Amino acid sequence: MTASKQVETPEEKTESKVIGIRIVVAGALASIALWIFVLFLGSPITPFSSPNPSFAYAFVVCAPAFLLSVLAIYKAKSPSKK
Amino acid sequence: MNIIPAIVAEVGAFLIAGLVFYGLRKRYGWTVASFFLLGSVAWTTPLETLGISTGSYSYSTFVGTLFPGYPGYFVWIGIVPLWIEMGWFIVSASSFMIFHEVLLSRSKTIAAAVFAGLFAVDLDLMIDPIASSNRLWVWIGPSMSLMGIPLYNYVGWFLMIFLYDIIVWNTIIAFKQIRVLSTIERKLLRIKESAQTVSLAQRTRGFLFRMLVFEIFAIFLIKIASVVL
Repeated sequence: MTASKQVETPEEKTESKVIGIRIVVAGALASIALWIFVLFLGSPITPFSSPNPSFAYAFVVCAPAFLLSVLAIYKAKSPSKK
Repeated sequence: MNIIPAIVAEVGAFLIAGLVFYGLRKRYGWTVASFFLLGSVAWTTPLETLGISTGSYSYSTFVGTLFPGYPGYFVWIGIVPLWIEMGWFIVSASSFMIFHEVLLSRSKTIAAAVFAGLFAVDLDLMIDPIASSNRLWVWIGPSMSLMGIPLYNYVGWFLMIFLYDIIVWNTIIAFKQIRVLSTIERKLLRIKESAQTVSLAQRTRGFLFRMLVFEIFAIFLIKIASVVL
């Protein structure tokens, strides 16, 4: 039995690069989600209350970064097509 | 004292940094992804160390809380928790990708770096008040502040992301001359101005040299900002 080596086509390589871009940008969204969760864990509505900025403050302040990240994930395409 | 947010933030930062590293590897390959990650650690550790040792802030709130001898966080580089550097890595890589690869044309290098810096400041306007109020780190000393966070901190965020963005774009993604450094680099590092392809060793030396020069410049400007603000 012979093992066949899989070779990526140029289209597959391009697709892989686009997925890479989207994953990195998703890191910003994941970071926002993480800090909102930390805010929740430290807020008076959980058993672990401590003084915190309000959820409204956090959502409003991070809105530009959130929207730009979502836009970038949506618009990400092959660098050669830019 | 509530340690749960601190543990969640530390573990979460490592997981997201792993995700971002994987994405960088898919886009640029192992070499660039590794340069980006290790560079982020080398870039931010001196500034963080300086901030802690000069008493601007502290990461020692949770020392001894989880078990006797617990250092406050699980993994450290010197006196800096490693997850802090991972946070810088996440923000620098994602802002780099958003503006250099997607939203702006590849020729608009400076504009992309400026927007990356502003993007980072926007994120930190959320991160720092949440972290500080949960005592993940504590700011010390009087200063003009916003939500309890010194204004010079935001100057620092902008400068560090802006300058690192420029270094990465001109050194790791493709080696390009930075005009103010080109004479020294030609003589000291033996990198010719016209060189289109430089060896990995030259690129590494150039990367370290540029980080050193820009780090000193950034620390100088942040120090001025901390005195003025």
